[in-house]
Amino acid sequence: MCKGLIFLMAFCLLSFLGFGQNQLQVNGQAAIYHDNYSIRNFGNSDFNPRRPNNFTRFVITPYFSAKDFDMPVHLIFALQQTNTLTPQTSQQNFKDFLLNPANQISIAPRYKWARLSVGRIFPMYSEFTTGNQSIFGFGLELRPKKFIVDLSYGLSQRAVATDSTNFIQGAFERRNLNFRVGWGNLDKGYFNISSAYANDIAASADVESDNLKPEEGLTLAPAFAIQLGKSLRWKNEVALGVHTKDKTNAFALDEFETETLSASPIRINASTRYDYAATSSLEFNKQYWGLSSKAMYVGPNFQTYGYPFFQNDRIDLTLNPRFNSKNNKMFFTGQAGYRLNNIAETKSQTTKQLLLSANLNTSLSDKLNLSLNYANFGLENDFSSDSLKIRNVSSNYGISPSFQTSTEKLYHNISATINYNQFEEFNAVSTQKLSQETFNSSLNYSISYIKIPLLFWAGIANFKNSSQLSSFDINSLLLGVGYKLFKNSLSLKLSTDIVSTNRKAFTNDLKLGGKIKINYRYKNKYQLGLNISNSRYEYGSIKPNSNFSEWFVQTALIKNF
Amino acid sequence: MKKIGLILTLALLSSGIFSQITVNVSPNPNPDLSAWADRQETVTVTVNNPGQPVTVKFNSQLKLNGQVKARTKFAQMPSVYLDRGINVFSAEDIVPYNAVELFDVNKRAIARTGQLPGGNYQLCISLVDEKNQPVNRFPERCANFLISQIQPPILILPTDNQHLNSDRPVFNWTPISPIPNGVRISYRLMVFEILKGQNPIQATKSNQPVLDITVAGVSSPWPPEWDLPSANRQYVWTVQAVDDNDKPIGENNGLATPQTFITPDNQQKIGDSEPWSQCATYVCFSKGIKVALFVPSDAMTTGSTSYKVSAYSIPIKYYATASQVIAEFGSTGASEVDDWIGYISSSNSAKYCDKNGFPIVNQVVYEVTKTNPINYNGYTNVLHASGACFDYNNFTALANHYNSYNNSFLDVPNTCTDGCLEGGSNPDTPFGGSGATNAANETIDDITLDPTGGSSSGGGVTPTTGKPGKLDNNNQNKAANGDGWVQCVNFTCKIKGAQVGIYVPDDAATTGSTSYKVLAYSTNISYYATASQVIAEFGSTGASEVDDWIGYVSSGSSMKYCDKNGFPIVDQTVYTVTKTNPNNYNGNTNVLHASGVCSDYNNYTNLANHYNSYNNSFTDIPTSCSEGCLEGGSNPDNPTGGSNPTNAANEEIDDITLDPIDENGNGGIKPGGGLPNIGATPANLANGIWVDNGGGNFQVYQKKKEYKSGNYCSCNGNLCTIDNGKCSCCGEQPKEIVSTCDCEVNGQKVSLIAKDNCRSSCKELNKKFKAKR
Repeated sequence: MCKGLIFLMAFCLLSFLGFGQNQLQVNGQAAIYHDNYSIRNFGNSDFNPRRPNNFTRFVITPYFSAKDFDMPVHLIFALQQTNTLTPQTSQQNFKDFLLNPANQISIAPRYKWARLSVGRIFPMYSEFTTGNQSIFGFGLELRPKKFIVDLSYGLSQRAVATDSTNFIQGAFERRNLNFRVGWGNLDKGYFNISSAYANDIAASADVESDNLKPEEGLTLAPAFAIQLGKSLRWKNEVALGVHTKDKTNAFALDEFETETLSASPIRINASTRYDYAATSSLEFNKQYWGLSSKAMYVGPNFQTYGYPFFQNDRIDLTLNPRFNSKNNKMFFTGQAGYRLNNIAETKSQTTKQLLLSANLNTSLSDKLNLSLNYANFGLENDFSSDSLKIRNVSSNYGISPSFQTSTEKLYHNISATINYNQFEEFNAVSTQKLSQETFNSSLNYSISYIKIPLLFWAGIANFKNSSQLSSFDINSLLLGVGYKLFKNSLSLKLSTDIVSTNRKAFTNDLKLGGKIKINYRYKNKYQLGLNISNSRYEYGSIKPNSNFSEWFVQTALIKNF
Repeated sequence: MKKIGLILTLALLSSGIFSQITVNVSPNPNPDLSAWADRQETVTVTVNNPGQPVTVKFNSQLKLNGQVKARTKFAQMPSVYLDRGINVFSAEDIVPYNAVELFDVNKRAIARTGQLPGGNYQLCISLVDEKNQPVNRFPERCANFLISQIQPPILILPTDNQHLNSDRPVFNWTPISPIPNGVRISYRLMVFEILKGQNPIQATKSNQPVLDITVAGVSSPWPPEWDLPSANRQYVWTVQAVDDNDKPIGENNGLATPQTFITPDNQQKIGDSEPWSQCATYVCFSKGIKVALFVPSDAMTTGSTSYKVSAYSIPIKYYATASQVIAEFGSTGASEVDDWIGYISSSNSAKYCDKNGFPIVNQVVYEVTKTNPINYNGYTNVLHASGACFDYNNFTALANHYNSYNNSFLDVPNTCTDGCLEGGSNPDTPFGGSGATNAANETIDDITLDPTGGSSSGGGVTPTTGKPGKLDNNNQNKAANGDGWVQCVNFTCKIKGAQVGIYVPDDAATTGSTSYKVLAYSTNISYYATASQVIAEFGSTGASEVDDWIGYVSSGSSMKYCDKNGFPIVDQTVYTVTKTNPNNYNGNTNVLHASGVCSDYNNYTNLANHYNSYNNSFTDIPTSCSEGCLEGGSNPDNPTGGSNPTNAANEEIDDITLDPIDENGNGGIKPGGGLPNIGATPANLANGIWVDNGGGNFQVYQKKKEYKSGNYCSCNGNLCTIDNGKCSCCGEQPKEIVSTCDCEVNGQKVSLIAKDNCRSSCKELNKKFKAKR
């Protein structure tokens, strides 16, 4: 692993020297973060550790720039594997290390209109092809005049063999090839065609799972945008996705399907599916207000490998208004969304979702700010039968005023939050409507000296959660003090909190916590941070004589250059 | 004998009673028929054969609401051998994918989805012999099951990208749908911290969750046992539905599409004894002033929009020719001459302009530094008022207001021209230089502004913005078209999405020409932003508008970044954002020219906006430019020395002429110059100036009030007036002077430029309109 790192660093250095620009500037940061964590359970407390015992992470991000040239370098990696939703490897070799999505090692030199990216890259070509799926490989981005040419190839999933003794499910190596070609300005009007292709290598790992099959898929999506006048933009994309869910499936497609998919470049068998997706959006933007609307259709079997967690089989309609006053003292944003699932009726039921939200931030005066928010979400299916009926409604109201004022010596900051959440659920089992209410309020006050780097703060909070099934009440008190020493280069913060939890029919739980935060800066170039926190949780009669304590120590060494 | 009879009876009975088929189908099988063969547990059929071994085929039927939707085809079905006793068969024998025939269903939909429509199904199994005749001793048996994709949970609260206003989040989500009968569903709630340099999907895929609990319901607050999530951090959360055996259930492994949320800032910042931190600095070396903006050091967290403005004098610096140096200081060896740059030829890649903004070509260039004549006596002029960060001119307006109160100082120049900014090593680097740190060394004298218009100490300020009502065009000379222009000054305001350039004749330095052109067009808008700002504006840090991830910038970092409002981004992750300019100029190039010396950004934009107002179709170019934090950072916008000016040269420059502006502000600028051709119609007879091109062809130009009958000339096909002996459209010596004659057509008096003589042309025109009638 070390040899690989040295090789990569040498490559960066050679690129740097090879360019030979006299005015080459280097900025950036190099940091090492180390976390140490421990938990001790007593009595009936049996919590698992929620962090790794030791976790070391390097973040080195130099940025080289000169006229017509720049080169961001990312060397972000962790020494330990913490993968939870994706499989870990039993023994991580250098290739596994590079391919672990936790690590981002990349270099991306650009000269004029051409950029080459090598390492972990994030190709973002369109809404239906690739966007948030990172790959480890290379990418090319060319922008000669108004031409748009993008190409990327790499691995999005490393091969992991099934290891039932260590509960590792396994995964096939997945190779991704994406491209985009077009003409125009991506920020204004353009036409392009993008594509995302993914292929699982069945022989890459010994995977033993009925649910995990090697897949192959291709998505092709033409897109265009037109600037209609100075404030209006119309953006469109349609996509065809073909994918084979199981490359090892031995059956052939029937006559009709074979005819339809005969032009597909991917392996076709009985598990091959195709479907369409389309989206159209209209954005109207003025200086002080704007309105955007979007409609999206995603067919029930449309799948794209450039977006993990992409939900198909839906129609989405969204509307986003915004408004701000001419003096920028008031901002409003809103959202109204409607989603219909099961559009091809391949599922046994159809669900409808409605989302409404609004946020208003306003400065009532130089000293008083007010933030209001509201969100309402509803979902229901089309079953009238009680046992299959699903209905959820969530309503959330929040108000957060803050007040700042200063005297000759002191600066005061008072902020409060009141939040109310009501969640209604139709319980299919009991056929009853369950309602859960959460009331959350807090008041914080901080006072800082203008001539002395001294800060005090205090906060109280109440959290009340009640439903027909259970209820509890949390009250907390927070106290803190901060001071800076040695010409403000050393910052110290101490805080403690006491949390009391009241559960119905039980005596109170009690949590005591303390935190120390130390930050030292040397000549604005180096920074050393140390955070130590400890908490001890003592259960009441719900778990008599049980408690646990956590220690969490974070250290950070940062150098800016 | 009785015993034998009993045995025979039992044998006969068992062959009929115990010959039976048992069908087992999993309660919620995969709707994809082709996947049934892979999962043996999907369908199993047990056949008890008490008789002799026999070869049969399965006859399977899938019924939805009593109607047959799929059936196995006899010819394609494999033969199976039924041994005596218990025989067990799985899906590949019972419903092999290639032997299934579909009825009365949308084949196209199945081809696309690969799935049977959802609903309550019945799988009926019987046996047939080699001749497709039912084997009567094995009566048909059926089993019921539900086909449905199970929709994974959907996250409700916190909504995606929500900025929480409470330390303790409450999580709400929907149950899976439909909920299978007889299965107890639990939900695994996972919250991941998004570490520096990660996007939400990366964090989900590679991190250990900081909260990982399993709950029976569809709602859970952050448990009281655990420390609250860290302040002002971004987290991503998801929920996974699991069954009694902790196995994921539902599509996509039962995982909901992850959503992010941002925890509130606890606002616990210790002051630095100086609660103001410098944000933006504007340096105008050629005018000898520096204006700096200070915002509260915790502005980012408190949302404060208060600011202070500091303006003070600095030495004046500029480039000059040898003759200019000698004229001003007496000798090129004067103490004011800082540096000798050298001989700069026209082909030199570095361009230098003098203090008036004109290029110095084929001459020796000197760098000059002299004392600022506008002396502020060492005072620092400081003001603060509420409001968002403003641009240079607003700062200077504030500073000047303070000056006017003191009555002892001269105004801070409210325009800034720093000479040639194209590629040269200009000593003034207002955007990115290290000079900004000097401002922090000045003593800041805190005063308070009264409401606007007040005259007490500090007073209020009404910033003067907007475009001029008129454009004085009395001495407009048209510059030569196209070639021979060199770009001198370029101002790019990326956070406003505008670029304005000025062009002067390339021989201006030797001819003394004071003509110039102004070109303005829209660019992309670029600025720095925090993760929360990016999320609030574009929905995700992975949005296409996010150009680059700069990284976590601590308060101790030597690099300073400010957001688009000019507020510093401290102890947060910084992103570079580039987005489309909402004020789109449709690709048009707005070009003007007028006489005068090079002026500042605002003067250019005023000119350009005047053109826009003539066209009535474009949004004004922003008249003020605030580029965010300018202190030492690698700001992507480098208006003074970047490569952008060369782009401007690629734009087509359309030559135009300014018409005088009337009292109402009408008139102005027309592309192409000259009088407009209005078309030969009878209605235009009296309104036009008719030009006889011979052969009965006339061109008609609109006659304006100020253009009476008289002499005209022609430039590039345009009809132009003669001004001071030159053709007004192009400034050239008229090659041909033509005069209008008065002609009467249909009783109307018409201005006519004759081809040969007035009489014959007038006659021709009369003939034309007689024919027209």
